[in-house]
Amino acid sequence: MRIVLVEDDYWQSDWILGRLKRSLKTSAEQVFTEHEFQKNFESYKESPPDVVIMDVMLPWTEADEKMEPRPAKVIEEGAYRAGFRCRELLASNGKTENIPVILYTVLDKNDLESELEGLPDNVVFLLKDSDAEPLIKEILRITSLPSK
Amino acid sequence: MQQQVAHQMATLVTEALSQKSLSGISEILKQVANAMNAFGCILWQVDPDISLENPPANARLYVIAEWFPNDQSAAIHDLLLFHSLSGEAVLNNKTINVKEIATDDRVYKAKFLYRTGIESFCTIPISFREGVKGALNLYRTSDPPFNEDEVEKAENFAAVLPALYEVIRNEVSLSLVKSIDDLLLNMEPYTPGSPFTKPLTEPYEQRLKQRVKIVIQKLCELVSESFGSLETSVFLEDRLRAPGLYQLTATNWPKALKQRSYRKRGKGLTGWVLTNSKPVKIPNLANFDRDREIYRRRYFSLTWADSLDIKNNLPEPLKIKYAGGLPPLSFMAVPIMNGNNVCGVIRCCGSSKGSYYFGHPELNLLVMVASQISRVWNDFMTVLEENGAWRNLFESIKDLNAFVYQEMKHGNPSIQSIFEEALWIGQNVIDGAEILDIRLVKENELEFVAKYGKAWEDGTPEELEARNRKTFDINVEPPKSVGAYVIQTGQPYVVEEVHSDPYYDETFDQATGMIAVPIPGTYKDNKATGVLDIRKTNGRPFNRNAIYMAALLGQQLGIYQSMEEILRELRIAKNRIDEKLNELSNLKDQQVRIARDLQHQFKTPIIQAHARAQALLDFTDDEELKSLIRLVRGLCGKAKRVSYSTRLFSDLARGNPIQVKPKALDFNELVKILIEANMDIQLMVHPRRKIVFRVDRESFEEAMKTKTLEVDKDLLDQMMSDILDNAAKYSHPKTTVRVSGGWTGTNRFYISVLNKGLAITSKDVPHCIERGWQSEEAKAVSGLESGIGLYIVNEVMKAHDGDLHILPTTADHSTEVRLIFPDSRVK
Repeated sequence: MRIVLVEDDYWQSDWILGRLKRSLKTSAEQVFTEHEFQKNFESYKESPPDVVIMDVMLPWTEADEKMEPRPAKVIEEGAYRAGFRCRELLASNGKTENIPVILYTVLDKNDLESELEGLPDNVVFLLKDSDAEPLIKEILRITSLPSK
Repeated sequence: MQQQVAHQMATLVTEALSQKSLSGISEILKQVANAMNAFGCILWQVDPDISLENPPANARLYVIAEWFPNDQSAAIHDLLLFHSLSGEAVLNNKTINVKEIATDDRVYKAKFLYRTGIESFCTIPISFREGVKGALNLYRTSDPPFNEDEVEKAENFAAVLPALYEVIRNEVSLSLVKSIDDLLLNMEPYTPGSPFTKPLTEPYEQRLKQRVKIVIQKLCELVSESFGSLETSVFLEDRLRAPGLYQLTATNWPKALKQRSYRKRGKGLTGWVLTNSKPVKIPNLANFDRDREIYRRRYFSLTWADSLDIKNNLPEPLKIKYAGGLPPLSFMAVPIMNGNNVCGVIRCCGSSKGSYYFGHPELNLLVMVASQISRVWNDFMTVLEENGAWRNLFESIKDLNAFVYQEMKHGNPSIQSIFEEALWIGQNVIDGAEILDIRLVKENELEFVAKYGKAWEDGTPEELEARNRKTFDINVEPPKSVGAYVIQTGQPYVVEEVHSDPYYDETFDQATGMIAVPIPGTYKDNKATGVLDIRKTNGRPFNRNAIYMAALLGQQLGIYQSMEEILRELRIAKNRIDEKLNELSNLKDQQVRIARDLQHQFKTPIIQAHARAQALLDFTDDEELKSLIRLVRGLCGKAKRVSYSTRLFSDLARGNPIQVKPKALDFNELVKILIEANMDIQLMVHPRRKIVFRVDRESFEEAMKTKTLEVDKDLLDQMMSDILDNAAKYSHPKTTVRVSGGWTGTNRFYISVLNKGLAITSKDVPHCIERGWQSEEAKAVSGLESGIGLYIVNEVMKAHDGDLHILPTTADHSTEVRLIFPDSRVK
C-alpha cells in the first residue's frame, strides 16, 4: 500500500509513521509542507498513492536560505485551507481525483462546516487523537472501497 | 409816479415770493426803505397775547424786523404802547409824521437816533391777520422829512406789508413742511424687515441711534434756516436707558451748551416746558427780568436760567456785526409729545436778522416739527423696546435652558417646574401678558397643566375647581375652541376681539385678547402636543412681536418635552445596559476564575510530567527510551510554555499589568535557567533540521563576574522559551542558535539570542513586538496566522523596566534579539 502522509509536525508525522508500520506493516511517504506536496504532484499523477492522510493546516514551506514565495491564493486563503487546496489539486486531475483522502486534523468539524460540504465520497474527515486505531481502521475501510 | 409805485409793489411781491426764510422780511423792508428813500425802517407788532380792547398799561410793541444800512440795528427792541408815538399811531390808527425830532417833544430821544443821525421819521399803523396791530416806521437822516405825497406812498406800502409778511411766512411754512417730508421719506427704515424675529445686535442698535440723531440734527438745521434762529436745540428722553432725563440730542449752537440735559421740575424755560407739557414764547429774553411779572402770570412759576449764557456769549458766537447793543432775542420752546407723555422739547432762541420776534405762526410750525420729531424718536424707541424685549426673551430662554439642563443632568427633570418658569418668562417679556397657561393633550382633550397669573386664583372654590378641570375636545370639527383650532392646524392663533371670535371659549371673563401657540410634538411625532395660552385684559392690541415671541416660547416647550422623553427612554435603556453589564461583569469574573482554575489544573500535571520525564532520564540508560522521554519532556515543556503564554496574553488583553516577582540570580543560577530553556527547545526540534542550541557560558561568566541579575525566574524562562521557539521555527537548517551575555555601550547588561534564518528588515523591527504581527516569510513557514511571542517578551521586559532590542538581519542572515536590563536590576 502506498500512503502519502501530509503532516507539518515532524514528531506527529513520525508517530503516525510508527503506527502505520506497526499496524499495517507499511511505510508512508512523509510530506511536511504544501509546497512540497505541489512539487510531488507530478509523481502522484504518474503513480497514484492508495491513500493520502492530509493535515488541514500546513505551512507553505520550511525555513531555508532559498524559499519559494507564497502564491497569491495561498496568501489570500491562508494556511488554514492548505489541506483543502492540496485535495483540490488531486481532484483537478483525472488520474488523481479518485485517490482516497483522509482529512486528519485537530480542528473540530464545526470549524470546517462549509469546507466539508459537498465533498465526494472518497474524502473523509477524522479528528486527530492520541489513539491511532481510528486512523488505521479508516485507512483499511477507505482503501477497500471499490474504485470508480 | 403811480406806475413807479406799481412797479415797486410788483418787485416787493416777487421778492416776498422768493423768500425761504423769515429773515426775508428784512429784505422787503430794505426794498421799502429804498423805494421811500429812507435811511432805514422798523416793522413793529403789538404783543398778540394782549387784547387791544383793554390793553394793560405796560403793553408793548415789539420789533418784528428792521433794516438799516451796514447791518446796523436800532437796538430798541420794544416800545410801550401808551408811551410812544408808534403806539399812539397804532391806538389811533393814524399815521404820525415827525418832521424834526430835535424839536418835537413827543419823541423819546433814543441814543440810536443820535448815533445814526436820524432827524425825521414817520410811523404808519398797520393791521396784521387776526386783528393783530402794528406799525411801520420809516427814518430819514439829512434828507428832507417825508412830505404828504411820500407819506401817502408809505401808507400804500404799509398796507401791503402784512400780506407780504404772511406770504413769506406761508412760503417758509410750506418750504419747511416739504423739506421735512422729503427728509423723512428718504430716511432708511429702522429694521431689515418688520416685524423682526430676533434681537438686533448692539452695533446695529448704535448705528440706528446715529441715523436717528442725524435726522433730528437735520430737522434742527431746517428749522434754524427757516426761522433764522441763532439756536435751535432738541432734548429727548431715552426712556429705556435713562428715563426722566431729557438729553441734548441735536443743536446748532456753535459753543458747548452750559446745560446739556433737563429733568422735569428743573429750573429754566426748558424745564418749565417739560414739567407743564406746554409751549413757552418769550418776545425778548434781554427784558426777561423787566417783564418777569407778565411771564409769571402767563406761565406759572416760570424762571430763566440763561443756559445759553447769553449775557456772556453773545455777540461773539454770532459772528455778525452789531453797531451798539444786541438784537432782540425771542425765545420759544415746544414740548415733544408721545400721546400724553412728554418725551422731549425743541426750542429756538434769537434771530440774526428780522424777523426777531417769533409769533404764533412760528410757534405752530414748531409744534408741527415737534410732532415729526416725536414720530421719528418714538418709532426708534419702540424698536429699541421691542429689541430689548427680544433680548430679554432670549436671555430668559438662555437662563431657562440652563435651568432645564440642570434638571436633566440630575436625571429626573421636573417638567412642571420647567413649564412654570416658561410661563413666568412669557409674562415678563410679552407686553400685556397677564393670564397664562399651558394645556397638554391627554386622550383627545386639552387639559390645563401649568398656570400663571393672579386671575387663576380668583373666584369661589367651586369656580376654581371648575376652571382647573375644564377640558377642550380637540377632535371636534369644526373646532369649538381656540386650543382645538391650534392643535388641529398646528398654527398660532390671535384673538383680538374676544366677543366676536368664532373659537374663543371664555375661561376668563376679563380677558380682552388672547394668543395661543402650539407646543410642537416630540422627536417621534410632529403633531402638536399642547398649547401655550397668553391672555391680556388691558383692551389694547398685542404688539406686533408678541405672537412671534409666544411662538418661540412654545417651540422651546416642545423641545423640553422631547428632551424629557428622550431622557426617560435613555434612563430605561441605561438601566437595561447596566443590568447587562452587571451580568457580563459577573460572567467575566466567572471566566477569569474558570480560566485560572483550568490553567492551574492544566499547569500542575504538566509541570509534574515535565519533572517526572526529567527524573526518568536520570534513571534509564536505554537510549531509545531516553529519546522518547526527552521528546515527552519537550512536549511537556511546550505545553507549559503555551499555557503560561495564554495566561500572560489574557492578562495583558484585560489591561492587567504583568506582576514581576524578582529574585537575585548569580551567574550559575542564570546560566542554569538558560540551559534548561535551550534544552526544552532543542528537544522539540526534529533532527532532520539539524539546528543546534548553545549557551555561551563564558560570556556570562565574563559579563556578570560577581554580580547578580534581579529577574522573575518564571518570566525569564518564558521569555527565553518564546525567543528560542522563534529561532527553532525560523532558523535555516544546519545552523546554530547562540545564547550569550554582555554589556551595551551605555553599560547595560543584556542576554542575547543570535540565529541564522529568516530575515527581519529594519522596517519589520518596530512591528515585531505588535500583537499578532508576522513577517511574510514567517507566515510562509509557521502555518499560523498570528504571533504573540515577541509581544509578550516586550511586555515582560517593560515590567522589568528593561527593553527588548531586535537588530535587523545582516547580509549573512544573522538576526540578534537582546533582552537589555536596567542598572537597577544588576547588582
